[in-house]
Amino acid sequence: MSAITDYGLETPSRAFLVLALCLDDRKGRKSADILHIQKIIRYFEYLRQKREIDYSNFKLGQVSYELEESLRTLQESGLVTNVGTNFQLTDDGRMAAEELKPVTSADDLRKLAFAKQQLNDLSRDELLFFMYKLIPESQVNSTEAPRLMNRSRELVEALYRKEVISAAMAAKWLEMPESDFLTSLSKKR
Amino acid sequence: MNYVFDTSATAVLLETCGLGQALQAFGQTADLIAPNRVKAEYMNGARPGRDLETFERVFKTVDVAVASELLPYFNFDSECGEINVISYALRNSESCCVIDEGFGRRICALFGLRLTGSIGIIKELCRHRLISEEERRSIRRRLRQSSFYISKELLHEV
Repeated sequence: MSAITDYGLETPSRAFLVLALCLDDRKGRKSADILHIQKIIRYFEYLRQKREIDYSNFKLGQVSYELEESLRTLQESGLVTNVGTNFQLTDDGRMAAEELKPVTSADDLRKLAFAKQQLNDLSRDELLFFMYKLIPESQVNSTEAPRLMNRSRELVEALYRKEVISAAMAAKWLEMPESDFLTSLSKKR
Repeated sequence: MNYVFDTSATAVLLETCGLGQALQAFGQTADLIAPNRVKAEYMNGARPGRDLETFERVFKTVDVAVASELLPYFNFDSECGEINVISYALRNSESCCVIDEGFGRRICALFGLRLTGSIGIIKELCRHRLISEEERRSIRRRLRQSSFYISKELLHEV
């Protein structure tokens, strides 16, 4: 008996959900809310430059119905449960994750872990802003992007301080020289 | 062992801390390398303290081909100093990256690279007795007053 075949975990969206929920973020938490899960897996696909999951540009940027549907299926199968607004693996889910790890490439696991560590402790606004800037086309149908772009300075500084972006990226996103960006930060130290 | 330096660490060590001479002496025991992109960044901007002559005395500059696997992490910007430093270290296993910024340090950790920062280099200079305890205290003061951003955690380490 294999959890992979029993629960259809050959499907990338289901496999990545289970794996994403079994990895620690920077604070050692494994659970995540739906928006963070969506963005973690999108960032992971961005890092690996390989798309296996359908995303569309929607109000909150790129989101995937496929992922949402898979998450529902995993809940119904008893692999995932929710605590408040966060989702986490059940004991069966954790066993399924252990089966998935050896059949997933080390490079994919490393990138997914990195994506979770980079994004899971960001606030909602920081998360959306980061993804809008990273994938500019995701702003197309967004209801949030204009509001967040008005807060660019504050959000870029927060992302830099949380070590999610480099000074070069921060400066580029703020359209200013890198040395000016760093000097402005030191004044706020 | 060789050290490959990023731009902000270079500026901190040469300009803020005034360690050109000590670094030059340290260069007798280890190769101190700066990618050409780092040199270009170092020369860029309007900082009054930049000193190309000292930079060239201290560092051996090298051309670096950017490692394509790093590009997504840097939003496909191959021009920044850090991606050049890390690319060099990926191809030269004896290299230790000298990077102060948290993001670059995370990427080094992700790829299992040797890593230190300007504070680590200052400690090395102390260990080799190339700077005195008094100089070290003065460096700490200068770092605190510096116009360059250095995290509180790093400042505590000096």
